[in-house]
Amino acid sequence: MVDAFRRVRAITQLTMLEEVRNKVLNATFLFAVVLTYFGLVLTNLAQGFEDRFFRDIAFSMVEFFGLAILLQSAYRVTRQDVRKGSSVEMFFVRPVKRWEYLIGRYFGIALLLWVGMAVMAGVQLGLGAVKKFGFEWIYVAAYIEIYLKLAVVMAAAFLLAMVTTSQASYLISSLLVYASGHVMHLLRALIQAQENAGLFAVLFIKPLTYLLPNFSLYPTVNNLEAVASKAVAFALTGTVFAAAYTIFYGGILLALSVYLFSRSEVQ
Amino acid sequence: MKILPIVQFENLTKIYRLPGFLKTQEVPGIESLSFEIAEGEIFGLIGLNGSGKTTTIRLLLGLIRPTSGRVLILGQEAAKEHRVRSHLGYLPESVSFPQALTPNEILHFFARIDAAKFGGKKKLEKTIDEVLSIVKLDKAADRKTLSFSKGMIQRLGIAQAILGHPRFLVLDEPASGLDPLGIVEMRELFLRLNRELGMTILFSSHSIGEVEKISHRAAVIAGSRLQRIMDRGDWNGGSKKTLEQLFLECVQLKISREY
Repeated sequence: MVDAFRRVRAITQLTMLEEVRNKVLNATFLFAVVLTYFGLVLTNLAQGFEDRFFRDIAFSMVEFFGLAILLQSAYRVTRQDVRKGSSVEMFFVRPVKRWEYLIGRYFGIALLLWVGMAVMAGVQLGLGAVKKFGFEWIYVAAYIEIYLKLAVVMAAAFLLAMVTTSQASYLISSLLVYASGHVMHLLRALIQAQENAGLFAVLFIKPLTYLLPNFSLYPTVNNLEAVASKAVAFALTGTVFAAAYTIFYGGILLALSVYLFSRSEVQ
Repeated sequence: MKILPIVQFENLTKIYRLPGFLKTQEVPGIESLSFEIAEGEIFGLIGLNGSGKTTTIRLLLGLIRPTSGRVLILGQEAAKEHRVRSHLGYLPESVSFPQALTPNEILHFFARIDAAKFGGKKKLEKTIDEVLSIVKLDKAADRKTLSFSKGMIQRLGIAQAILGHPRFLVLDEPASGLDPLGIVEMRELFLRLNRELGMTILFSSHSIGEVEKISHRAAVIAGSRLQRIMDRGDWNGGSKKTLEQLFLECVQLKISREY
């Protein structure tokens, strides 16, 4: 087990190193920082709500940046790199198990996401401080929840990379999962509210609302204004619940990805 | 004294299933392959393009699964027993590395994957410096591979394959991308690894001359089947024929049987 942990750690560090030097990712990061800065410039348009306006843009940029890097990286490590002649082939002839490779890659991207988001948060708070926008502890809970949400999307992206047949279908399906995760609870509530919901809705749509991720379980980031009016402890309770959901749901998706990856051949 | 086989192919068959519009097309990769490679041997695989050489190697390494039969390395299946892979070194046919990393970083990573083999940090550093100097990449050790020529990438591939002195080295077209001087150096390196460290080497090649110069034995694969296994005596001794002539005989015989 110690050896397995060592190998996972080596793959995690390699992934981190590869991604940090990836020019596309660096450009994405720069783009997100520039957009955050523009958000600060545009606060002049929201007289009286400058801090709220900037905060919403900055949090969106953190999430956008995270989503962009995880979607690129997840596909690269699970599909593009796993081909004949690649360095991955040279991993697999060494004592590396498939699950060690995939988990190592997952943690590598997760670590990159953590570092990238921390820098983005620093940019947000730094720019906010220049404009003398206040800092609220609730922001920490919001950052953690964005990270947890992206961890679930990444596990889903790993699984989708295994089952889709092209990069385009992978991207479309991953974005659909991400988007649907934000509205699934509404759809479920709608079906429950309708007394005469159709058979199709009950048999197919309703189970789907349980299969797809449910991002309404991340309360702070979804409704920062409402949570901010309550105590920090309230937000942290929600975050702890969100973390438990992430581990459970993300764990299932990752386990499925490992199963499919172990059965696949290096083509 | 009987020399123990390091590799045993036992009635190995691989059929590729290519998904089609209405039905799956079955293409044989290799069929009913059975032979053994003894420890300390240099064994050449020769055949035309698409004959099944790379499929044989990938089955041996557990990168793809056989349709039937099995292949054993030191009595174990590489696909199932990951520990046996500690004794393997492999150079793929068209090798590539992460372009943003340096040879030093890449070799460090591969060494850390199999850390038990390298002992302490000092020994690891020494081993990496040693293999980089063997493949003449010591001066480019800290340069990103993005700027490397095909020959340099191939040499880095050889470096990762021989890292940690594996007992069994598998090389798929090792001369591809190397210039004539590089080919001579590579040949001498493999002979040295075999003589001095007792490494068993299996390699596939289009270059019959290379196989003739360094192999103890060679197998001809044509049309996804093993046609013949020959040893040095066949091309250097009694038959008075070169390996090229023997190879052409096998391939032409196979073609004449088919038509």
